[in-house]
Amino acid sequence: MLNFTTALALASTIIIPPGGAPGTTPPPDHIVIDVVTVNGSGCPAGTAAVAVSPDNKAFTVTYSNFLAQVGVGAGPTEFRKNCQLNLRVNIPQGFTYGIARADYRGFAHLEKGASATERANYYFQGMSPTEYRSHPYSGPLTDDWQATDTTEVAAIVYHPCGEKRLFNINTELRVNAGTSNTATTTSFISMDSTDGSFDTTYHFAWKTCPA
Amino acid sequence: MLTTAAVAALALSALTPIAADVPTTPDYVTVDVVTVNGSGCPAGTSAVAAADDRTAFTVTYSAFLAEAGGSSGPTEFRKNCQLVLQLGYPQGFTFGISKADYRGFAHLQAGATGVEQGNYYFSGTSPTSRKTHTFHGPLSDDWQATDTTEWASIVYAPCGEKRLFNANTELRVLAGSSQGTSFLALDSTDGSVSTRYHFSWKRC
Repeated sequence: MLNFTTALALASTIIIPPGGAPGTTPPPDHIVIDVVTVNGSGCPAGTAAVAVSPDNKAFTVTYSNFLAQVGVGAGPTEFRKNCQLNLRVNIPQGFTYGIARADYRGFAHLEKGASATERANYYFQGMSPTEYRSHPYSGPLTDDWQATDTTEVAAIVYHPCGEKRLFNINTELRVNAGTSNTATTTSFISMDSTDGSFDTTYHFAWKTCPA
Repeated sequence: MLTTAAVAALALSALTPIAADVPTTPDYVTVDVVTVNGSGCPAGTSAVAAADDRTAFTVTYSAFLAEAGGSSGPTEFRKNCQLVLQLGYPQGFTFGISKADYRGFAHLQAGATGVEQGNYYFSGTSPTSRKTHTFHGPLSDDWQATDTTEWASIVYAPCGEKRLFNANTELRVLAGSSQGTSFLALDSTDGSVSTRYHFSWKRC
């Protein structure tokens, strides 16, 4: 059985797993995830926390101030906020991968006539193809929301075999006032957490390289 | 066989790292708090105290308060705080029950409503369990709510996978027909795991 080790270093959170400190070169049959950066208008320094599961196949990012809004109390640029996760995934030789699924959870308060969108862009650093998924919401709405992205394995962007590159997940929240009255009301959407994981059951799929 | 040790150091809270090695397979389930974050518990506003046997913990908050009415900002009526927990248990774990106690204070005008909701899920899985407790104004007193949650082992197949457990607590205040400011505050969250009869074992 594989004994995965996790190395995670982040400014706000540090997790040192049993078996090695961050930066330790992994044995060839081990998978190591580094969450390199978490940053964006929706997750400036000190507002995001990252946790990686003990089996190294899933991670959870939580936010304290990832909120887009329009209307009373909202500045003109606050209708769109983003948070970009930059991941380094080291993969054993002979395998390549692509994201298969991600879970997003949050809260929305949308006045009648207003709408909001949660959108995630997925791409490898240095490669132009970008996969994105959008989830729209319409007012009136005052409740928790949850979105799951399931990317077809055949449609995803593959990591070049034998290379190690950074993988980016850029999530964004947008609110459109639409026909709602922004002089008297406020509409907003916020994100509590982003979850990703690393096997075919969940967020990342694996594919054997051609011989 | 088992490496459940987790050393988590949180800059934002006073979590004391637990010993990095578990010499033998524990015959009980342990819980460690990995991260605490949310709009109701931004960096520097929460503290974590873990029991010596790692079967219970307490998180306290200094600014977890939702408010509505009066001079409250339009986005202040809903606040959340998400705890990411690492559970330690022997291989073959099949199911368990976790328990959480919430304690706080409510000041609700007549016509206002306060809601405390716990959202529970494993990282990497979509199903979310929700437990809701509702309070009605007029009320100006301490409150306490208890959630008991079960989770199924089916999300753990195949054996050897381990997921983080998430407990996302949210507070909401709806002004309704009330006048003046209403608010709901959370002072502390106590979580515990117990093995006395809540867990059973299954051979991988």
